[in-house]
Amino acid sequence: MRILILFFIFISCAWAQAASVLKSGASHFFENGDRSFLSHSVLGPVCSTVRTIRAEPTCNPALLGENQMWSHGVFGANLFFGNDIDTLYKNRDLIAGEDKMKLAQSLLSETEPVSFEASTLIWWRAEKMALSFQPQRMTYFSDVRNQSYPDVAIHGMQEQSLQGQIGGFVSENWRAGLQLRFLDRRFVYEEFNLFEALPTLDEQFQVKNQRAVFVEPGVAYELNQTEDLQQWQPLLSLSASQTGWVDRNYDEIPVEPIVDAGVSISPPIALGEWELGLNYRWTANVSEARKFRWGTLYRLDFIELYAGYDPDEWALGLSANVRALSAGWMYKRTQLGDSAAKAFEDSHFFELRLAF
Amino acid sequence: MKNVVLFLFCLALLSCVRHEKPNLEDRYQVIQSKIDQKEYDQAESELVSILEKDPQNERARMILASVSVHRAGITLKDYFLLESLSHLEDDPSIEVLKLNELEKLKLPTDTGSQKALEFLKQISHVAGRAVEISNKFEQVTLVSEDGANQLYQALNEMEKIKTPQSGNALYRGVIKLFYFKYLWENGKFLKFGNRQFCLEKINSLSVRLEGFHRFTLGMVRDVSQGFPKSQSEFETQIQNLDRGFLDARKFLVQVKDATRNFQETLQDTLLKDQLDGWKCEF
Repeated sequence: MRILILFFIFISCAWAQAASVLKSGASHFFENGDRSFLSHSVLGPVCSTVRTIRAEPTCNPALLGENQMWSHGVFGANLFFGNDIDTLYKNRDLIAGEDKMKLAQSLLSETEPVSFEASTLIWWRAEKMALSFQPQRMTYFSDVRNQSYPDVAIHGMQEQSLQGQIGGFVSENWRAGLQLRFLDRRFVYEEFNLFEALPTLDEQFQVKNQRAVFVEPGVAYELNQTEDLQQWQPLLSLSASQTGWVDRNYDEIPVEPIVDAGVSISPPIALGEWELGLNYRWTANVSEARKFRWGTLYRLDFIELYAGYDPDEWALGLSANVRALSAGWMYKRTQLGDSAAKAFEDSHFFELRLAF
Repeated sequence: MKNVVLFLFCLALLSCVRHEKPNLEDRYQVIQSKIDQKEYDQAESELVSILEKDPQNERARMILASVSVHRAGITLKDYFLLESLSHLEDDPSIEVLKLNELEKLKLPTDTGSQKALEFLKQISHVAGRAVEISNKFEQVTLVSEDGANQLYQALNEMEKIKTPQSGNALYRGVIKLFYFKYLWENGKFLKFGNRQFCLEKINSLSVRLEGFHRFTLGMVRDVSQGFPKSQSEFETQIQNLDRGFLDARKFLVQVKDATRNFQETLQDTLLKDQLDGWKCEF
């Protein structure tokens, strides 16, 4: 029966995919969410509705308080990077060199979109609270369409953030939590036709700054009234993010409040732990295709598997740990739509994680 | 529990539905990608249908012109040479016509002789500028005859826009530069070497010089629009070029028998005995 349901779900999604209309191949770098963790990146917004199975800060602060083992706290450090590593390697001399015009020439002459991302994070997780500091997160995306009359998209960002979380059970069924997040970013977000923009390129190509303080609450409700429910552990969640103050708003990266509502279950299985979740996202600027996202995770001993799906993107992740060290790999396929030179973009990310 | 599963299933169906509709900019992005994928015919028919409804649509017309540019094989890497072109300066070291020997001769001071010498100097000057522009494009692949035909088509399309935005005027200027390189390297403006210039008939030379004048000035004017900060520098260049062309053309207009070639005309204008020992070799 379960297999049949899953089969129908994926058939329905495949049908919708075939009927999809175009979308621009813009990057999702400015989206909310902590992308320094492999699990969060694969699951996307679904991470705010599934119980975390690793010792790390959660997406939804209400989901803290899950595991008594961490009552003394766990320290960790993450390095997360990926995407066009080969392009970076190919241009390593130009990146190190002084002639940035040559670097621009090389990157913009690529016939396919170029993107890469890297971030570092230091964190501390206890049973009911968590702290994390992201000293550096860098992202780059560029895409050129029609090399003879180029429409250029360049998105680049440098970001630092500090966040604190507190949360856990407030009654037998209810959980609640609050997250405080400080963010400081510098970015370039330009989309232009090269020739139309050239006469005023100096004025147009500006590095912009943005600082923000977000107060992000979350709640969750566990359905455990019957034996059947206790077996499947259904959980309903609601969380808000990007709610707070921004020193400057920019049309190109609107910082709008986001509300995530989700539901998850943990089907009883003989071996390991399995969790399946679905999230719905309300915000002013999310595309229709990204409103709903599925996510699932499975853990068996020292191995963790993740998957995430929405009509625009699906991702798979694998993580394995040996003592304090863990390493993970993530594969992501993003639909670029009819307007891109190719239908989708494949990317690979890697995570190195130390937790003790 | 079945209800929960059923609820999840209904949400799943909802999650897979997409509602976005393409706008005109989305259509352009599709077309731009098709051009990169060399699906030229499809891109052209899409653009023609947009232009049929809106003939004044500058963006659509520029993209249509760019289909021909793409066919000619000119891409982004070629445009990065623009920066060096923004610093064009007179380089006196480029001397297309070797006039030293002629200047050493004691030419009579009558106006005809001096005008002939002045004409040669002006031709040497504008040809020197052409060589300089062509040299700046040394790294750029010289387009083939087919490529040049494509550029010609692209320029014809762009000329339909009476007053293009400054960026699009720059694009037209840049495409003219590529076309200019082809025309110059293939002797379509002026022919030098092996006495070709000397043996060219005056009426033919006059027509070529007029075309050279018009094309070069139009090209530099278009390119200058892309560099608002260098406007005065460009204006000086344009004025010098224009003056050089006009002076050269003034001499040709005064020639009585335009069916004679340049060498014969030069001999008629200058005193023959003064030209003893000097042979027109341009």
